Amino acid sequence: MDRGDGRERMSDVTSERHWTELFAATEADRAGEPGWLGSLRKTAIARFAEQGFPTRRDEDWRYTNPAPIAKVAWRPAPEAEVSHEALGAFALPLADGPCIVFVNGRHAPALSAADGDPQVVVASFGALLRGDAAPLERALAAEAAGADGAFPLLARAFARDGAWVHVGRDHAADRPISLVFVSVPGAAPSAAHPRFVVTAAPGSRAAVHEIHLTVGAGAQLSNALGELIAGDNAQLSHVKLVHAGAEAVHLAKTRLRVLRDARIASTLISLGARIARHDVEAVLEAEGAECALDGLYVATDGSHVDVRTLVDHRRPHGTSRELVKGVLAGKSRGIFNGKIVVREGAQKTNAQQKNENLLLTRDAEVNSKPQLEIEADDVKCSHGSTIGQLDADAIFYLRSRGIGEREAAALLTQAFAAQVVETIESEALRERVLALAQDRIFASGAGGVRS
Amino acid sequence: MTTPMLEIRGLHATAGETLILKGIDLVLMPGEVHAVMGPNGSGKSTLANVLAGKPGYAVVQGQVLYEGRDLTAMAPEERARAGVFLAFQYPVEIPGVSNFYFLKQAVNAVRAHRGLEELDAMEFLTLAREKMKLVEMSDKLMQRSLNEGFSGGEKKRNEVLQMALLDPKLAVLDETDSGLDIDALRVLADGVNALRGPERSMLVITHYQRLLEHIVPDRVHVLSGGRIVKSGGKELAHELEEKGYGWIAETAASA
Ligand SMILES: Nc1ncnc2c1ncn2[C@@H]1O[C@H](COP(=O)(O)OP(=O)(O)OP(=O)(O)O)[C@@H](O)[C@H]1O
Ligand SMILES: [Mg+2]
Repeated sequence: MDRGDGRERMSDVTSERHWTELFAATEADRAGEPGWLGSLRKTAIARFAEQGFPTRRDEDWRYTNPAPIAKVAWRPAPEAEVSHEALGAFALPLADGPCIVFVNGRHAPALSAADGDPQVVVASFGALLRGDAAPLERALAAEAAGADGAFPLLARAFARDGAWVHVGRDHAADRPISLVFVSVPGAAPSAAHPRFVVTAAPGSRAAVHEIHLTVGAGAQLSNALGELIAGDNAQLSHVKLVHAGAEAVHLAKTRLRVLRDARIASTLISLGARIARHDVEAVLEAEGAECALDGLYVATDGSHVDVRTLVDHRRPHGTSRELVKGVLAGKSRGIFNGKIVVREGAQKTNAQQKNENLLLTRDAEVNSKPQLEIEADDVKCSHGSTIGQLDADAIFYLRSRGIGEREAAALLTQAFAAQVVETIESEALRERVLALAQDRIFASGAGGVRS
Repeated sequence: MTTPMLEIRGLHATAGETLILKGIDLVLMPGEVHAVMGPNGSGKSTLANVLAGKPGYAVVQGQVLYEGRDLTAMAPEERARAGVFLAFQYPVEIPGVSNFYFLKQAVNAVRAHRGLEELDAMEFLTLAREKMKLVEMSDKLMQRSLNEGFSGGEKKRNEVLQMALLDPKLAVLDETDSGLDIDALRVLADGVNALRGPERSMLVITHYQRLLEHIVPDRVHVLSGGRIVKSGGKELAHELEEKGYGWIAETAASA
């Protein structure tokens, strides 16, 4: 081992050892935690040490090389302050309902707001640990039972805090619940692990806005792990918005559990990060479960986005519909991997999947890979994928009416994205998402729209 | 002396790699309406596309002046803002962009260029309703995606509506009459006639003399093989209708 050169040392700690050492070194920070949480963390780090980071040889990581992420000696994200103004600058409708904010993994009560609905609990894990921790213990133990990759294991081991949402039985929560995870990069590359558990009790209805933002510049890893559970007959709508910095790495594992006759509609809007990887697993666990996944990923110059979805039909009469669209500008790369599994006995399943991509430049690249694994015989499954460019005749038509070339491209791109954005129920969020997406694609100047 | 609205001198133009227009001369004065007739493939749409600045069409020789300015140096959107309008032979369908939103954006782009204030949705709707009467267009077409699933006649109405809204100085109508029944033709012709004025010039491209009974031109040009082979008064259209384009080919050959 060459210890003489700083760069060498950096790649030395690549890897697993950096994290296991970090786990040992941060033991004292977790001193006050209950034993069950400590053992969940220990199990996770042990499993991580055992399985290690994936490599490009793993089929799941063929197109997103994990090495550039794995080799960085990410430090725990430092404590940081975010002002109301800095958060307000994103102009997101956070005040439309209860809102819980985390900054670099720490709960920020000053930025959070309750809305007084006693049937809707929105709390930090930390607050639960100070009171009745039994529901959290059950939820995290159940979550940890799932087999998971290296990054979710790190989130289990290291997450300092998390968002807890519980909507009471047969209760309709009128206002959207916002979970906001803010990254404030430090001087050195640092990592935070946003976590959340959302439970909609049987017969309830709620809308959750999961929002990831970067304030400031610098390398930061946001390694998210979240779970949404719709109990029998419950209806959950979920929007995930990622608006991260140009040097940010966003990795996420999101599990959606849909129980009997329940429905989860989840819309993913990925507008940034140098590397973004979204791993969405929807499990239709009981009969009559329904799931709608919509997604829009935008990759601008120099960025890479990887969306993986697994829709797992386990029981009969499940329905899933999926539409994921990609807009790729500049020199960027997009990956879509959509898998549908229909298990033995999951008869009368109806599963549809579509992936559509719009390449705005010659340098943009996309890989789209649908996968079907069907073990039942009485099912309806379809999938399709397209890759295209802006229609030159349409651009000319718009320009011939006085609309500028950029505006014409923006208008057509917006039309392409609209189908996904329109699935966002909150009008305020929908409009803001459209504006943010346009800014990301066209205001950067790096977009380099083909003429 | 008045500056011509449009002055085309010795225009040679290519579409893709092919030379299509092989020397066109045409002068259109303010307020004049000229018709351009000619067989399929004679270059009528090519001329229209060159005037509108469609990418892929290049002027290789000659000049095109609009109000004395070099039109070919301007981007398509600049031409539109400066008052050049092309009603497309085949209007493009654009799913996901509402007709209403598109028209409002177009009108505001042109207004901004003219130093006028932007219209908000309500103001625009008022203006649009007034102009829609001109082409007897129904409200429901405004909320639909631009031209998507419109019938042939609806698309052509929408083109003339755009012309009415954008208030151009030079309008080129490329076969706005094709595929229309006589009633629809009359409506559109009335709409176009209502837009005639001393400050507005039009180039009306058509295959059929019947349009020219409604929109009576000041002059008629016959285009064949990328050249204007004959020009004359409105009676030339009748002559053409009777004798067919074969007659033109003969006169052109003997000329
Ligand atoms: N982009 C292009 N590339 C190559 N050739 C073209 C292109 N556009 C038109 N042409 C050719 O130019 C010639 C003239 O076409 P144009 O569309 O101008 O004819 P037109 O008079 O409008 O015919 P019509 O009456 O059928 O509309 C045709 O031979 C056509 O195939
Ligand atoms: Mg034509």
